[in-house]
Amino acid sequence: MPATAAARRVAAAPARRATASRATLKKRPTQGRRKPAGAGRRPPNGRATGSRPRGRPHTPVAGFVPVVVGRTAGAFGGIADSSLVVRMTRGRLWIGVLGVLLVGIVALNVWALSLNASSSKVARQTDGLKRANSALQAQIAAELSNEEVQAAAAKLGLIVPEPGAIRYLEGKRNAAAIAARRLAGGEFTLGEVAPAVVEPPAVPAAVTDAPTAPEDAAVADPAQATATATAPVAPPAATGGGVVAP
Amino acid sequence: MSLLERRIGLLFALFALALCVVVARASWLQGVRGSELRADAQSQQIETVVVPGSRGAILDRNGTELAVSEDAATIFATPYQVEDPPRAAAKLAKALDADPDELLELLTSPDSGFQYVARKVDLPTAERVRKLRLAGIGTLADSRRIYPQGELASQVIGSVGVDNNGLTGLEASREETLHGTAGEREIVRDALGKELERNTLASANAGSDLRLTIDASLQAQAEEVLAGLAETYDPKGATAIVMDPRNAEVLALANHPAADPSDPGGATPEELANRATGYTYEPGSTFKAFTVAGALEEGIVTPETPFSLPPTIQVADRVIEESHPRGPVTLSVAEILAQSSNVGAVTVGLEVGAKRFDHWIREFGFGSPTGIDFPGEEQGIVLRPSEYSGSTMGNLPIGQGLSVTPIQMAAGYSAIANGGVLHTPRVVLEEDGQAAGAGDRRRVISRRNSAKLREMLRGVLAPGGTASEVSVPGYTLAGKTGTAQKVVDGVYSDSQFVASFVGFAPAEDPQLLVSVVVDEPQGDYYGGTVAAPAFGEIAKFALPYLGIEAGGRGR
Repeated sequence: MPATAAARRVAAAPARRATASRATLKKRPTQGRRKPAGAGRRPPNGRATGSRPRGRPHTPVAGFVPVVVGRTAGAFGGIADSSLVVRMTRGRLWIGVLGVLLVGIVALNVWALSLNASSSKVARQTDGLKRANSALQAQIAAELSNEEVQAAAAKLGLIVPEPGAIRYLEGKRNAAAIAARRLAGGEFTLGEVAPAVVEPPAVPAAVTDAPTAPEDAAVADPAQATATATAPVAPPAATGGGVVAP
Repeated sequence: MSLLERRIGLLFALFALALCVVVARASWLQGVRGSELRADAQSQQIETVVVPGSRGAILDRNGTELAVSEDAATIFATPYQVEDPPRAAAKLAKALDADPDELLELLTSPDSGFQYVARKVDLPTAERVRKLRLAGIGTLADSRRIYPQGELASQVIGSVGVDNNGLTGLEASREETLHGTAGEREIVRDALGKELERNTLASANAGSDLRLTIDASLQAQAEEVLAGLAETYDPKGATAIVMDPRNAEVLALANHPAADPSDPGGATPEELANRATGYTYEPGSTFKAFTVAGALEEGIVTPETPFSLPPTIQVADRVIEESHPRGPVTLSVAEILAQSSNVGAVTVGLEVGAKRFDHWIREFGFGSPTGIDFPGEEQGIVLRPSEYSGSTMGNLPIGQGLSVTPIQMAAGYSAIANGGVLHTPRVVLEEDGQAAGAGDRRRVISRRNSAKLREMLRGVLAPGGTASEVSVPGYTLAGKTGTAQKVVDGVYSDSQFVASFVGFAPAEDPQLLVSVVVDEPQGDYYGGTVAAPAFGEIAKFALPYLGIEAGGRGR
């Protein structure tokens, strides 16, 4: 049965190699921690020894770098050979860990992309709102234009009083108190505004050859206009310098 | 070598070959064609968009918006990408309310890879176009100028072009302040065109605001009055200036005919012109106040100084007569002004003398720009004494033989009204949140002579004066009428006139000055009947509106 014996030898060889390898691996951590020959030994006077070619300048950095690099490499090499990593890579757990890591990387990328997309969406919304805001501001400006305000005032029955119908009063000491009392008593309400009895003079009459008489504005009856103008205004004693008709 | 090892070797060789192919392909794509493909990818995935920086607003003195910027969009086409142009044109025409034939012409343009379809459309319209999802049709962010008050103060505000650059008026002269800076934004898209990232490369900055001395309500009133005047007298043009004489701040500056600032291309040069600063005319009798001011300052006359005046006066080869024939009379200086006597004013001017007369009119700022912060100001024409002919002193004292601008007249009368100090007129109150400089000022006549002049000018609106029919109940008014013949082909015309009036109120403590100049009114042409009533209408609104009391108190 030479073929069977050969097959057994072939099958046994990897097993032996594995045993040897395991033995070697068990020893390595100790070797890894071992200090290099000569390293760390100091003479009694505390000075480092070592042969250095004469004439070469001594730089502390030049000596320090290889030591650091060597130790770092040793430490990382140690991780790869640690029993935990070895056990993990020999078991099925490794597949799971690798899978989780891969999924994690993909998830992280997807998450970053979705964050970008959502921030872009917010930026787009911000732009849209800014544009809408500018359009609304323009609309507000148009609504508050002189023409619109005059039309609204005319609808409310407000008119521009005749210059002669206006007089200014000096405020008395107790004027504010009287005004406050009358306001609290409900004496001044919007209901007191008289309805418009004449066309509002917002659009002044065209200038004609006729002389500009004091009464030539669009007020049909000065008495009525005066009454209209004075209706919402406080009486003289309470105005404190307000505008009233005589 | 066993079969297994051969198979493993073959597999290794295949993998090595595949790796070599991949490496070679990668080297080809990244190394040889790398830059080309990168550029292609960037053009497909990364879009750089210009974000317009909107212009600053123009506000009136109370913060009312006269010009604002609004976000808009420009619709463009890439003709060779448009599929089925007739259908696309029909759809676009419906969305844009435009002519489909014109649009089809644009979309089928053979020589262009880019065509503007519609510029500065509002956002809802742009959204409608976007929703059509037409191949080869795109939108660009833009901004447009809106004038919420319509044609109000259009010549002062000016206009902007399609690229948002100021073309006329303050929009042009204050371009540096108003103009915004455009920004840039990078948009990264995935293969399906979905937006992934939006990065700001350079932020857009809005322009600064400009606040004017103009009061929108007064401006509207002045324009209404001019429109009414135009309806009655159908003049070639007219301008009204409302000013605070204490500091020469322009409260209203109205022009007729008006122009639509949002459509400067549709306006004539006359409509776009600001006549207050760009129109020169012979002032006529309104200039007599400066003749008398010079005589008062020289100490030659007082308001009561009497002059025996013949019906006409001859200066060199020219005979000067009154507007209405009369016999010989004796008039005081005050009466000369009130009745606007040509013979009297020439007599007073001759008393002053050419050299000193020239000194005084230049003191009031005639012959040089006032320095108002508005572009394109004319300076008028005032001859040097060395250029005078024998009859020049027969013309100048009555406002002939020289030309001035309405703003020069308003500034000169402001000096008379405010106690003798000539201020530089201004229309800008604040720029970029900083108060604009008050401008230069200098005393030109004494406070006492200023008061005398004011008193004499009251007589013009008193019974017997040339504008006696104008009054504002409760207020004292002062001013001067002017009716000047226009020079046509080198001679004074008998049919073309400039009617004007400059007045202020209250006469004892002026806080409001109104100047009205009407170019070639039809039917009537006297300053007292054409321009003075317009002054009265404006003052009637402005005095109570500004809270000016009849006695000069208030505000």
